[in-house]
Amino acid sequence: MDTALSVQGLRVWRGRSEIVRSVDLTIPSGQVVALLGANGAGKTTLIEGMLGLLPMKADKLDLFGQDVRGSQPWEMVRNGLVVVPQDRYLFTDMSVQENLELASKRSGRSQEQVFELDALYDLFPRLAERKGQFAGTLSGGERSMLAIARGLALQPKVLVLDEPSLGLAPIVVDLIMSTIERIAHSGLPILLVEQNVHQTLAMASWGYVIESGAVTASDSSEALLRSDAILSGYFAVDVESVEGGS
Amino acid sequence: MLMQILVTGLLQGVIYALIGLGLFLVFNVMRVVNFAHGYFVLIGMYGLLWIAPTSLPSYLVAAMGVALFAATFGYVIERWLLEFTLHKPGHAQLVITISLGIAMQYFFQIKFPEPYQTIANPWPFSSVEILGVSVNSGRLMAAVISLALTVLISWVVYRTSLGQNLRACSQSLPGAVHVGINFPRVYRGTFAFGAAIAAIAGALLIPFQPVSPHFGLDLTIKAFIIVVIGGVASIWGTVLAGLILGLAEAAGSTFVSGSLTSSVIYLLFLLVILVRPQGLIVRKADFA
Repeated sequence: MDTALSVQGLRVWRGRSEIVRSVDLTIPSGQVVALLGANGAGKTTLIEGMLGLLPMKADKLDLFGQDVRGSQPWEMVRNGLVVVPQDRYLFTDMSVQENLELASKRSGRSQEQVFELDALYDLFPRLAERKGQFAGTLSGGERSMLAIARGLALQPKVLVLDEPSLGLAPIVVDLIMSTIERIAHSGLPILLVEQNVHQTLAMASWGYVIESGAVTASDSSEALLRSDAILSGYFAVDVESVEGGS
Repeated sequence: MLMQILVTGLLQGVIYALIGLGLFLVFNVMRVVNFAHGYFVLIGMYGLLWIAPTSLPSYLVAAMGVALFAATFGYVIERWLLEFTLHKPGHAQLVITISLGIAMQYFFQIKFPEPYQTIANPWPFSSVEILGVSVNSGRLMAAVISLALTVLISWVVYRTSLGQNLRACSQSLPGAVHVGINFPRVYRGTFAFGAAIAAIAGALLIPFQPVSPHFGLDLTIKAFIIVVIGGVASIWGTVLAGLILGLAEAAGSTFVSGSLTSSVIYLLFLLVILVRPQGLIVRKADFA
């Protein structure tokens, strides 16, 4: 099977401390892979390391079979690895439309435009209503939508979504998760980082659980849902002792 | 007398606006206050003094030449002195740009020991009557060209994709990185551009403004005041502040004697900081 992104032995530093230790991770073409873990487990650090924002070392970092180790973040984006960051980082004094235009201009004329602006507005009708509004005036849900849409406007080959539902109302979470599912149907490989375990695993084919910077479980979504890895990953409970005590 | 103040003030103000704009762009995009900015204006002034053009075409070519030189100089400064300090704590850029300014001041002092020189008026007419006020042609043309450049720059910033990248870096640097903007390149370009604008302003000033090395600090402070008064939100704030500064200076030189003139500017600065610390023009998004 084709691999979109293949990572082996990834180590990432934040300042002097090594936060991510020897992580292996694979995103197959056309599939959604989930990256799960509690706050502070190192999910965002892992992503920023892959993108080249933080100092990192890896035995292997291949994007569609091409070694991209040592690339600058903007080169990674140009090569098709697009990260939608947890903090969104929108251009707050630009309109929704301008945020998207800026991204789609940067994607380059040569590449085929899978996600045209019209398609993005179809995907996020709310953004179409807010077209002329400054990004800084959007609600939390709309911001997340715009961040995802801006990422798509860059015409990614692999999309990394870092907690797109963070801090949103349940009804908005549902909306965003179902939109991500629609995006996944287009065949775009996605690494979905979420706290929202059940909805995430429902659309992912494979999942990784990360704990203090290391992968503690890696399995198919169905197997992960049934296993104890999630429970221990999130609550650091010793599952056997809980069961034994009850 | 009122007309005199109005005309000279506005004409001088447009040039101040252009100088302020260079500082504004660098500050807004890179979050660096370039305390050598006024000395970049001196590059233009002394550059033309050195070339000493005698005709209008040679003057224009010389002006473009100093702009190109200043851009290269600015690029080198950004690339080799400033860049590695940008994302580190502390105020290294402050020390670096102030020191650079001082170094440039002494360089000019040694190279051009004769103070207060100008070049021959390159324009084919000597003075024009505007609203009953006689205006030196150098002053008029400097204002006209400054205004044209200001409009051009604002067009670039607000209407082109180059300007879009500048604004992206200014509004969210991490956002710019995530959409694939090579920000160190944007930074180098912006700093070089700021230096080039300053040098052009210097080239425009020199036909009617005698130059002296300490003029650099004076202009740095004026540009700084303009950016603070104008606010960081919009180019038009800077332009407005430049005009106000020109008017205040003109009024000051009419009503107050000699060396007290600049106190009018500082008084204005103090007033704005007290009454409207956010600057004259504030971003619209804050109110929406």
